Amino acid sequence: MLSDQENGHSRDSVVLLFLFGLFVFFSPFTFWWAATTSVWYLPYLLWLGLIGLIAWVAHRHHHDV
Amino acid sequence: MTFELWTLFLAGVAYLLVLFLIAYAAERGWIPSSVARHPLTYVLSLGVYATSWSYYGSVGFAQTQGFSFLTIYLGVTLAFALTPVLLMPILRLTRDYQLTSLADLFAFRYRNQATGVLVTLFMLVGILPYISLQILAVTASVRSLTQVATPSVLAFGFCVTLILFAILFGARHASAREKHEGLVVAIAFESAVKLLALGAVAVFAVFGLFGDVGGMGQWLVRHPEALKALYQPMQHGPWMALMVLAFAAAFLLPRQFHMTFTENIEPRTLPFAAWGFPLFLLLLNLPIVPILWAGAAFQPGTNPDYYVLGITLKSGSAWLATIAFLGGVSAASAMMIVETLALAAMCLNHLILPMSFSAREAPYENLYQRLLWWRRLLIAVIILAGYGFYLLLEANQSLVQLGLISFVAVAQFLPGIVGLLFWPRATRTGFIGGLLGGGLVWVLALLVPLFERSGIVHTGVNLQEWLGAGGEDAIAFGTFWSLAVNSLLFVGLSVFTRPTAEEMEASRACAREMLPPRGVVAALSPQQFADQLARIVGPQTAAREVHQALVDLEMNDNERRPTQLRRLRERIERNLSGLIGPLLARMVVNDRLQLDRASPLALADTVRSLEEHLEESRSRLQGLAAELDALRRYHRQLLQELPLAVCSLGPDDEIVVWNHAMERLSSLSAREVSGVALSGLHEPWDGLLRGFVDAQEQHLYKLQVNILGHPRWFNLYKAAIEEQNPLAQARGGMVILIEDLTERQTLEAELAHTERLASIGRLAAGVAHEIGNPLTGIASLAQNLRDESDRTVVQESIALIQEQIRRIADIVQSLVTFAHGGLPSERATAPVEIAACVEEAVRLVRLSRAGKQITFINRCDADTVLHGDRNRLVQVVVNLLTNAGDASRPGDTVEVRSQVVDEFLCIEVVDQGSGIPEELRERVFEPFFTTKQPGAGTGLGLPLVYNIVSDYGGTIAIESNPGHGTRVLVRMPLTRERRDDRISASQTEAV
Repeated sequence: MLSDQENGHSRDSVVLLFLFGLFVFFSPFTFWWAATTSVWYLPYLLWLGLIGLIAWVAHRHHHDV
Repeated sequence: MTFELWTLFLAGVAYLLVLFLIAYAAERGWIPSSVARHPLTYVLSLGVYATSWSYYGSVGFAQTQGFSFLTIYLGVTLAFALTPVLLMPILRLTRDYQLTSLADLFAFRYRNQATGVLVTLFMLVGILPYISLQILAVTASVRSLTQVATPSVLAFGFCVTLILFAILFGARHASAREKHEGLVVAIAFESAVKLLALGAVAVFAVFGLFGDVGGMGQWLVRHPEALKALYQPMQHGPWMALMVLAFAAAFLLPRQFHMTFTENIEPRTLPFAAWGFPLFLLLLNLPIVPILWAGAAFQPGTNPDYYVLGITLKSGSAWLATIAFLGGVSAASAMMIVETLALAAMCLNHLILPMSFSAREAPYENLYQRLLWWRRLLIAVIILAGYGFYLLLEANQSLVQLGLISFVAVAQFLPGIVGLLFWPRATRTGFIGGLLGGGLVWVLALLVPLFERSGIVHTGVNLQEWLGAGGEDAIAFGTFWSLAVNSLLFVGLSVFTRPTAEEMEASRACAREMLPPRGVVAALSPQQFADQLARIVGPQTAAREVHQALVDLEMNDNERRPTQLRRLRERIERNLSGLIGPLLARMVVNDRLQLDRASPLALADTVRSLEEHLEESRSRLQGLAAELDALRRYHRQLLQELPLAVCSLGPDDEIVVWNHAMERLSSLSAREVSGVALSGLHEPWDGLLRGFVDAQEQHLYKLQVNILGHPRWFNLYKAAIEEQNPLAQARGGMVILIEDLTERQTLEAELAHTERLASIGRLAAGVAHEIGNPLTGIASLAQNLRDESDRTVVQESIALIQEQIRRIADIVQSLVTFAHGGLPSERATAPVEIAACVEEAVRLVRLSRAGKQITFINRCDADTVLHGDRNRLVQVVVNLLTNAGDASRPGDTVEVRSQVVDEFLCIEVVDQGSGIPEELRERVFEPFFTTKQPGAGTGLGLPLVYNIVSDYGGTIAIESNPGHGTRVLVRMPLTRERRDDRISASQTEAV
């Protein structure tokens, strides 16, 4: 079982990850990279990066448990 | 290249048959269960999210709105990123309370029939556009491949086929509650087919049409507007609104809720899906851009929505075109099957059953069969309603627009879900008000314009124009205003209304807080439960449900304890919830399995329930709660591991605590006795504990109890636990400690026996001499008798011989009696004359050589009588006299006096011996302590005396003047009553 501190850290990671996702895909920053890029696969790369982070957080959480 | 209509129809049916066979194989176990439980299978099964809209419509959407098409999947990614805080809690709730749909979840939380009905109706209406778009996609795809107008019977035929397969997949068995491993595997297979089909088309587009990746790159260089067309709409289009809609749809769409939560077989697969499912969606959407560009470059002559099919026709390969077509059929049919199953469950639990139950007077004959047939009927009705919607719509509707209208409807549940998980103060009024308000905006802003465009209605209603937002994207407008009105009403109405007690209880359950048990069941046995339930659900169903609940809780039919019956009632309610929904389950159980909520709680019940909840929620406790729980555990552990047996009783004499030592002592486990009243235990525990509870004494010492035929000795202590709450009516409980003395008693008895034998050993030489003397006398008298004829002399000699024989017999008898001290349990108590006792002791001591040279004077009062064990008293005096004699010089006297003072007998043994130095006086009662040479004494004499005297409730004191003599004073109560008082008093002082 996780201690309450570990649980808190895990929740913090999840929320931070979500906020990061919002920053990349749901903020003025989104329109900035959309306006300045010249490669068609950039959204997919950013998406893959976010998925990678989700996997990493999930892996850490799993290891802690 | 064109296709024949019937070829395509048969191909579609054949594919669906393959899907069904896969499902069947999984259910029969031909496909191993490990495949169904694999995280990859779970992730692929969630791919039912991608319907004809994703398969065909994404390309069309990308053409008009650029990369905005990705929002439908990015929103899902963000939702799944929050798996631990958003999705896992919902999964836990659905599993714990057997909630099978979103309507069940909301009905459970807001405890209201209207909630369930409203959610179900809203979901039905909201999803109809989505179902119709699947039918539209399939008919349009057929048209693309056959190049002829599709007869309307095709769409109908497709719907009828799907009704059949939906029933085969999800409504085949009578007990519709088990998870469908077959469905999960089939849908996972279908997602893989979709992915491979789109992948194949994209590979053909890049390598078949453009030549290679470089070729596509060159085309892009020649057409830079293509890249711009992807990015520019992001700035001006409904990017933000679509992200929000996709976020909500990810887990609120009926099919997503169904596959993510209801059909989840293995909870540990959800964290894997947190990244696995978004990855699948990414892979599924990678082909969209190449397909779009291939369509733009090579103009296949179809609507952009159907470029996927159009460009395969350019390949000249019938196989590729067929695979692409089957991918689309797969996407559409999987969506319709799962969505329909999910909606049918909702309609059954919240529309059909409540009406049926309230109208019913007689019990159901076979509830499971009835539920099955209703489910089948609902599947048919829902799919046909979708078909009806399809007929009403204009044929060239954008697939995506239809889908988005459904998304906005589903998004209306987002405020409710957030409130359910994170805001206990939310009330049903707020939820219903928000849903109605948001729903109304949805109808006016999106549904009415859709009907107007299709020519079904002419209302003149234009909400966007009225609010001066005529130029805005309709979806963005509808999303913002519907959610704004919904949230405002939800929060506002919740704040101004009070939640009911039931809602508070449900909100605590949703927040995973502890729920203390309430009330006492009226039923006295599981059989009574079954009898009561049978009056509504029929005897067969009732028996089965009760049996299942007993198996789930590992209880048996003979359970009678009120606490366990209450748990059984809760379990039955949960299991029924999975069958007929949470509201009806509660209604049935409340009606038939009466619970007296006003009854005072059984303490054992509360303790056990709280401990179970604390164990479950241990990882979620924080701060002070976590520390208090740690302290509770520490105290509990302390109590459990105590070497003394502890038993605590609640106010109604039911057993609350029964620690490990008590379990070992009684051979009864805590689990068996917890919550049981004392009268429910078998002998000797019932009599022993109850007798002790009722007795005046706070302590009982060396109580002998027969357990399984063996004697055991216990010290018992008890203390009352005061009720802390001064307002509470009930008295507090009691704690009982039991100290097992059996081992010590046995050891003491052995030591006493050893000492006695040692004493006899010391006397042995003297005994031989003492018996030798009379024997010599007998021998000489007999010798003389041989030659004696004078009758008088003969008679005198015979008398002397008889006297000598008596003397020998006395000595032997004393020895035998002394040696055979007897087991503690065999000791008889009887009135003992002290003077006679001392006399016998003197006789024994005189047998030894040293004893002969000492003069023993018995000044004890001949009338004094002590109630006790003669042998043990003789032992005491023998040991004292032996010590006195050993310390004296030949010719000294040892005097024994007795006196009765205040019902106490005082015996003094006074000698004129060497005395005991002050520093040794404290040690004389230590076992094995002796100042004599080895072999001359065991050092056990005085400790034994001390033990015997203590057992009688007496005291022993030594006064000594080294060089002048020693005085030993033994004080013992004359009567037994006095003795017990003395024991209590002395032990209390000791404690």
